[in-house]
Amino acid sequence: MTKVVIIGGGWAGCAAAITAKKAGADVHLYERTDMLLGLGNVGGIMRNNGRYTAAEESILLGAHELFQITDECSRHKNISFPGHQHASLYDVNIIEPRVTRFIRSLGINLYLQHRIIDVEMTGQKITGVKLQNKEIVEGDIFIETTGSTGPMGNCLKYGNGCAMCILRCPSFGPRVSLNQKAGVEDILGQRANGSFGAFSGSCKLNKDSLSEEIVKELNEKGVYILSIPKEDITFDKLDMKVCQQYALKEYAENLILLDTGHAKLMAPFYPLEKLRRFKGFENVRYEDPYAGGLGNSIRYLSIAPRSNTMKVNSLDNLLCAGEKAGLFVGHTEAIVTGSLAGHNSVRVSLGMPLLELPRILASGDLIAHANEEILKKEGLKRRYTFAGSDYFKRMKELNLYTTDSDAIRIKLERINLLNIYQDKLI
Amino acid sequence: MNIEGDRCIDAGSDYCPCYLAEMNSCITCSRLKGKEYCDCNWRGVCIYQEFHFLNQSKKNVRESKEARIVSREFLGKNIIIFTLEVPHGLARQLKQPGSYIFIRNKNLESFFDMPISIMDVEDFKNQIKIAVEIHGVKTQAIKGVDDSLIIRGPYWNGLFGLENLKKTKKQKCLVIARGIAQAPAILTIRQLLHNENTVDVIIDRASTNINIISEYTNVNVLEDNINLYNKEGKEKLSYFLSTGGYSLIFIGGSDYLQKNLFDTYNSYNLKVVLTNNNELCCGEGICGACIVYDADGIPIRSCKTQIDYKE
Repeated sequence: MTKVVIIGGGWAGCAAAITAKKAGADVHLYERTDMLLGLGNVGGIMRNNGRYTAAEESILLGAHELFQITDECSRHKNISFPGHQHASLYDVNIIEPRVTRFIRSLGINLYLQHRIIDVEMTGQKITGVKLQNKEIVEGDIFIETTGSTGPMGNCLKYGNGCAMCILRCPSFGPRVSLNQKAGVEDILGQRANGSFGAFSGSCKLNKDSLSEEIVKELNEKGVYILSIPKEDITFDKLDMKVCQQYALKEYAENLILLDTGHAKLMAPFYPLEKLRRFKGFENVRYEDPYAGGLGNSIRYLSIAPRSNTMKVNSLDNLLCAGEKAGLFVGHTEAIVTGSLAGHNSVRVSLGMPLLELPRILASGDLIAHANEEILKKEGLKRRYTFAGSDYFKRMKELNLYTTDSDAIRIKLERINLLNIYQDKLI
Repeated sequence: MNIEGDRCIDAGSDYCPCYLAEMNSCITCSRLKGKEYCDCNWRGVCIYQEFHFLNQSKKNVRESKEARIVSREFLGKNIIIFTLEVPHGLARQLKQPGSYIFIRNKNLESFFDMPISIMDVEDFKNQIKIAVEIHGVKTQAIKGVDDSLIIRGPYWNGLFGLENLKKTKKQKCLVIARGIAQAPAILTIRQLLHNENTVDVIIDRASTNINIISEYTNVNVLEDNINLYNKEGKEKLSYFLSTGGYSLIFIGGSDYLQKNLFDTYNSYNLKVVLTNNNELCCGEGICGACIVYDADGIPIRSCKTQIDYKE
């Protein structure tokens, strides 16, 4: 049986594990911290704008499991906030154990607190990966979903230093770029001003530290918006954000809170003292990052060059997904790319032609478009997400955006890809 | 035997970042080694961030200070056990196995500094004990000293395999010590006992004719005067290993001894702790005296770097 080793247990790694398992592989998922989902533990926004289309596409392609969990764990469904329609917000406080239990129930071998630090190679083939304790984990196919965030040196060099985020590098050790260890150099994303990396776009406030009135509105509506006095408005922060779909004027002029179990503040960071001047925020404190008044994690410093099948260039048996695979933003994007990588891992092992999602699907177009753009200087400064910014505009122009599941089903039936991820290949 | 090493013993300590960070030669941090990306394996607060907090400079280095000699005990012709009075903080910092300091005659220049393992610490009395075997230029220079010595420390990389040593709990352990290397074995034994291990000891007195382990610790001595260089000694060791059910072995003695015994213990899948016998001169990774090379020819500064031995 093909042994697929997945490195990184975020949304992309979990999605890859599921599709690889369904395709018949013996799947081993390695995660360096004590929790799956990585930044998904502090995220929560699903199905906003074009992500709705992408979620439905994935479900109909046969990767429905994680979307079912995020739907079931949603605190709010079909809500709107500036620039965004029909969003769901999953509860970050309940989702991770759900996913962990589900992954284990499938018979996927899960190794928490197992950090991979190096690769073993023969020619262009990876034969094994090395754990922190120097043990070697052998495998047939490897999928790298280690993300692009941190470690601390990057957050200092390109940000404001370690802000103590959910990734907890000092406790669990740094992320290691395995494609780089295998001799394939990382691509680095840039900001509008040309500097490298980008700040994570939101921070999480402890909901109990907000006034009753704000908590009530968040619980009922999922959104709370407070306008910022003119003298305090800064537009600079919009440029430094990862999440260009939230880099809108409204996000500089207002404090926008979303209810994901915490109060998700749609700004990369905000000085605590300033924040406490707002009505209802007098006692506010940060939940993630702990030093959210100072900075946030820095991302996009470690992208592997890949094909549209998610296979890493120049290596025989390494695939990638999630932020490792491009300037992608969001859980949906991670699950979409992860599902494809997991499925293709089994195809690689069997010597089958690899699946490339056609560009008449938003998922296929995003994967291919991001790959074209990353070769351009200006393209390195953009982010690619179904949820907004340039790519959502493109989705609408190309008529890829729809909330009509039946239309997507018909499309998939026509191209014979309905439930392809359900196929057991081995 | 191949070696590899990437863990600096000083990383995250009061002495990190050090001169090596300032000189773009940090053992741990890729950025402080001149690289444009993060590629470290350090699990702790970022050294690069610490360096940044210090305005791109190192922390204070260890300084030499005078330490009063509380007592001297002569064992045989050539061995002196010094009891020194040191600041309380230093005594505490020297309590871990593998600790060493530099000592010299206060009337001589700093190039008389020599590294000496800490044998024992009584931190509530602010006293440390060291055992010095008189046999070379630097040791000759302190033979007659009875009032005070210049000391510099704390240094910690006197043993390789410290992680093995610290993580072993409630196991059977075998300590092998030859001659003056019984001195670093004492703190090792204390650590093992602290972790509720049982410790058996084999002593090769060599030319020293001493058994200080029995004097300072209460452990089961299997042999107190074996010759590990002859066939009979190795056979006895083989016997103890095959019947003892050990999970950790400590070998205190020269590289020659360590290599000589390698084949005897290697098949038992033991965690290994070895004394660091390299020439330590400055202790700060600067002078290069302690450099050894891994299989790729990469230099390892062994005064600060934990080394793993591989077949």
